[in-house]
Amino acid sequence: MAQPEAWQAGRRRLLQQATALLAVSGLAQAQAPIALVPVQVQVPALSPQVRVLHNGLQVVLLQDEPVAGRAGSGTAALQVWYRVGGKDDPPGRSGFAHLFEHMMFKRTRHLADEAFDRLTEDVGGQNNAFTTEDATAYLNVVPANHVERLLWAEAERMAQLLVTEPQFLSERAVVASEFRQRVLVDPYGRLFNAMAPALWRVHPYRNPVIGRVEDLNAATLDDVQRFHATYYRPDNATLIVAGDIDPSRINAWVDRYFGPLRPPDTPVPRVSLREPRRDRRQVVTMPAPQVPAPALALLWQAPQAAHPDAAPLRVAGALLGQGDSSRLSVGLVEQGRLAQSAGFGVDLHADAGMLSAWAIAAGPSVVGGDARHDPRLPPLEAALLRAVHRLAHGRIPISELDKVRTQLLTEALVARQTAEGRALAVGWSLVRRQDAGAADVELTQLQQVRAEDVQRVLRTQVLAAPAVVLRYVQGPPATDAGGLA
Amino acid sequence: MRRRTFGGWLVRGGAAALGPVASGCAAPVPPSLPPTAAGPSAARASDQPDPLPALPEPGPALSLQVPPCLEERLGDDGLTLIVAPRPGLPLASVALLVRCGPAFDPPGRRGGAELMAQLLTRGALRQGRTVDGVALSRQAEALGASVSVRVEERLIALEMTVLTPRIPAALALLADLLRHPLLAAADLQSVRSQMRDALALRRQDPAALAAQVAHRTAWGRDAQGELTTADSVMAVRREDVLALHRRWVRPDRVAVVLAGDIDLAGAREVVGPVFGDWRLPPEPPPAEPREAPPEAMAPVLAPTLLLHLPAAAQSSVLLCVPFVGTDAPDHAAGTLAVAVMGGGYSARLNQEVRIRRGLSYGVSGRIEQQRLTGLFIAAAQTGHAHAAEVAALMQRQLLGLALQPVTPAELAARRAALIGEFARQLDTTSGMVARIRDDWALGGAPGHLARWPQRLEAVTPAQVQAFAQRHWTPERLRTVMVGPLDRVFAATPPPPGAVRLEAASLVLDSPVLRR
Repeated sequence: MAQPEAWQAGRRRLLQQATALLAVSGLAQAQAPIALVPVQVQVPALSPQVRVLHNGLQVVLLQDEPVAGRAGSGTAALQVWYRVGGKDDPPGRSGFAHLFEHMMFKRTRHLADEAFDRLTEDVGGQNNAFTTEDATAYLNVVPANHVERLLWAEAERMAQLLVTEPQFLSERAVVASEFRQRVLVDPYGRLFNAMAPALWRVHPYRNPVIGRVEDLNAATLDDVQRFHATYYRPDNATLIVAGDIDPSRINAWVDRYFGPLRPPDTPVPRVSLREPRRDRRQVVTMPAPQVPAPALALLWQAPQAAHPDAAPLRVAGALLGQGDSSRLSVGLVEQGRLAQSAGFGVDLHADAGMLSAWAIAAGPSVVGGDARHDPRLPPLEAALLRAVHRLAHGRIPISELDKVRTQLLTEALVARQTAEGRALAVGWSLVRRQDAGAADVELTQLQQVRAEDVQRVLRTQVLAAPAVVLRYVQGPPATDAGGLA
Repeated sequence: MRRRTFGGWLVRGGAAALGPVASGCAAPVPPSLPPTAAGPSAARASDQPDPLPALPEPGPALSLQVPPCLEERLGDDGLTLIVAPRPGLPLASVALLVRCGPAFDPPGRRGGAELMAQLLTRGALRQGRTVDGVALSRQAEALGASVSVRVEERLIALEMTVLTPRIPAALALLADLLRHPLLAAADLQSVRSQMRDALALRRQDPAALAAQVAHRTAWGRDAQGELTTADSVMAVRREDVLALHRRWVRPDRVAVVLAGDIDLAGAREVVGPVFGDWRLPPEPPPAEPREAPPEAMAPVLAPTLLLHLPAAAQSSVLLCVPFVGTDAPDHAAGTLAVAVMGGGYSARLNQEVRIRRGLSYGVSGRIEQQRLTGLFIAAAQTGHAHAAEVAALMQRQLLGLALQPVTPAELAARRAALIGEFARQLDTTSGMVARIRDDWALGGAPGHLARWPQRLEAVTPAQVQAFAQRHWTPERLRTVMVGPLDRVFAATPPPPGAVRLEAASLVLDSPVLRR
C-alpha cells in the first residue's frame, strides 16, 4: 500500500514556513512552565534568549536546563535560518532557492569544498539543510566543544561564498536527480508537487520549492552570485544556538565572528503580492504515467500562520487526518472502503496558507477505458466533503478533542527531546509567526481550542470557500517535468 | 533538502570521548592559505574585505555519558524487563519485543509473521471484551500516539511514545495486543490484500526491485533468500498465524522496554499488574530455525543481474557484499569498513558518485545484520545514461578498500561519525529503545552497549583493510541494475557475464528469479 504518512512528513518539510522578522525583545523571556489539559504534565518552556546585533543579525540562544540525575548532553545544535525561500525564486528560475542551498556547501574564501562535513561529521556531528516556501535553514549538530568553530564557519559562508562553474554544474545535476527521485519515481510525488501550482494563482507560493526542470537547467553561476549578495546577509538571518552551551561565551564568539559582517546598503527584496480570494470552484485533472490507483485532492486557501485561526485549523486537521482513528481514515478507509489512504494537510506559510483534503482510491487504476472519468473519483470527493461537513456541523465528543490535544502535545515533546529539535521549534516560530516565543504560545493555544472554534473555522475557511479539485489519474502527462504547469 | 537519510543501520555502543582535537580531523584550508580555487570563473558573492580571524581550535574534548540501561528477569516465567531511565521531559517510550519474525515462517508461506504482527493491532480482547481495530487505534491515539509495529528477520516490536502519566495505560494496551489478539479471519483477509497491493507497488519501484533481487542473489538458494511475495502472502492461512502466535509469543521470548521518564522501581510497579499473571505454557521452548551459515553463497544466475524496467523514471544501482555476524572477532573492523565506504554523506561511495561527479542525489549504505552473518548493501539512483558509470565507480571503490589501508585521519573521522551517531540516538527515548531492541534481537551480552565505542576505538587501519581483503572480494560482490536497459546500455555494452531479466516476468518466489 502507498505510504501517505511518509509523503506528508516530507511535504511538511518542504511546505511549512515564514517571513520578515524584525527585532524581537533583547532579553531572555522568563517563562513559567506550561500546564496542560487534559494530561497533567508540566512542560518546560523553551525560554529563548533573543538579541539583535547592530548589523541586523538576530541571535537566539537556548541553553539546556540542568536535570537532576542526568549529566549535560555534551551536544550543541547550531542553525542559521535565512529569510529567503521558494517564494523568492528569481523570475524564470523556479527551484533556485533550493538549488542555491546546495551551493552553500561548496568552497568559501577560507574553506575547501565540503568543509562543513569536516567540521561536523568528522568530529562526531552532522549537518544538513532544507528549503521551504519562506526560508532556508542550515543545521549543524556538534560536540559542544566545537561550537566556536562552527560559528566561525557559518560567518565565513555568509560573507565569503565562492562557487566555480564545474561545482555549480555538478550540483545542479544532483538537484535534477533529487527532483526525479522525489517527484517522478514516487508514484504520488507528482500529485503532491502539483498542489501548490493548482491552488495559487498570483503569489509565488505557486512554484513548487523543488522547481521545474527547465528552470533548473536555465540557472547560471551569475544567478548564484546575485542570489547570495541579495539574500545571504546578516540582516536577513537568524542564528540559533541550542544545547549544552554557556551563553556568555557564545555571545562573545558571536560578536567576534558575526559582528564585523556588514549588510549591503540595499534593502532585502520582499514579496508583496497578495493572493486574491477565489470566487469559484475549479477542477484540474492531472494525468501521470504510473498511477497505481487514482487520487483526488480538494484544496482551499487558508490564512497565514500567525492568524488566530491557525490553532483551530491545526486541531481540525488532526481530527480529520491524524492517525488511524481520524475521521477520514475511519470514514473513507476502514469503514467506507472507498480509499486506501486519506489525509488532511494544514500548510500555513508566512503570507498565506493552504488546506488540502486528499484520498487515494481503493483498488488499482483502470486499465483501458477513460481514466479521466474513473467512477471512483466523484464518490471520493463527496466522502471527503461529507467528513468535513459532519465535523463542522455535527457533535464533536470531548474525548475526541482530548485525543487530538494529547497527540499534538506528545508530538511536540517528542521533537523537543534534542537540542536540534528545540532549535527547530524556535526557528519555525520565527519564520512562521515572527516570534521566538511562539512555539510555547502555540502549544498552549492548541490545548485551548474548543469544539466551537473548530466548527467556526471549518465553516468559514473551508465550507464557505470554493475549492480547487485536483484529480490524479493514469494517462500521458502534459510535460515530462512531473506534470508541472 | 540537501541529502537523503542514510540507511537504517547504526552502530551499537557506550562511553567514549566526543570531539577529537583539530589535529585529529581533516581540517579545512587554514585561513593563511590563498583561496583554493578562486579562479576567474569563480562566483564571488561578496567583495567585502576579509573581516574574519583565523579558524579557532576546538575546546577540550568532552566525554560521552551513556545512560544506564538496567535489565532483569521478572519472576520465574522468563519475562525480561529492560529500563533506561532518562529524567527530563515527561515522556517515555514503551515497547514489547518478541523473538519471532519472518525467519520463523513456514516454507512457502513467507509473510506469516509479518501478517501476525500487523494483525496484532486489528483486534484484541480487552478486559474480556472484543475491541476492533478502529477502537484500538482510537484508544492508542487517545494516549497520544499510534502503535508502531516493526518486523525484522527474528524480531517483532510494538512501540508507543507517550507522556509520563500515560505509561501504565500504554503498557496495558500493548500487552493486550500482544497477548490477546483476535487474529480474525476477516482482518487477515484485509491485511493480506493490503500487503499484496503494497508488494505490487514495489514491482514498479526500481530501488525496491533492486533490493529484492539483491536479496535473492546474495543468499543464493538458502532459505534466508526467500522473499515475501504476493503469492506467498496469499498462501498464508489463519491456522499459520495462530500457530505462530501460540508457538512463539510466550513470556520467555518477550522483553518489556521502558525508556525515558521512569526509573527501575517505577517500571516494576507498572509492569507487575500487567504481566504478573502471564505464565509459561507447559510445552518446552520451541527450537528456532537455523540461521544461514556465514560462508559465501553461490550467486543466483550471475554475480551481475540486469533487470529491464522500461517505465522507471531513474535507474537504480545496487551493490551487495557479505558482512559478518555480531559475534565475529572482526565485527568492529567491519563496521568501520562500512563507515569508510558507505555509512554516511562523507563516505567514499557518496564522495565519488555525488560529491565529485554529481551523478546521483546520494549513495545510501546499510547493514542487514544477523547474529552469524550479514550483508552490506549500497544503493544509488541515477539518470539512465549514467547507471553503468555509477555501477563501475561503486565497484572500483568497494573492491579498492582491500588494496591499501585507510589513512589514520580518514579512519578517525569515520569513527567519530559513528560514535556521534550513537550519542545522538541516545538523546531520544525512541532512539534508546531502538538500540536496546537491536541489541536484544541479536543477543548482545549485557553491557555490550557501553563497551561498543571502545571496541570501535581499538580498530586499526590494517584491520579494516584485512576485513575488506577477507570479505569484499570480486567473487563475493553482487551487482544489480534496474532500469530501461536499452537506455542504460545505449552507449556502452552490458558487463560481460551479466544476466538480463525482465521485470514484467520476474518470479521473486523462485531462487533463480524466473520460471
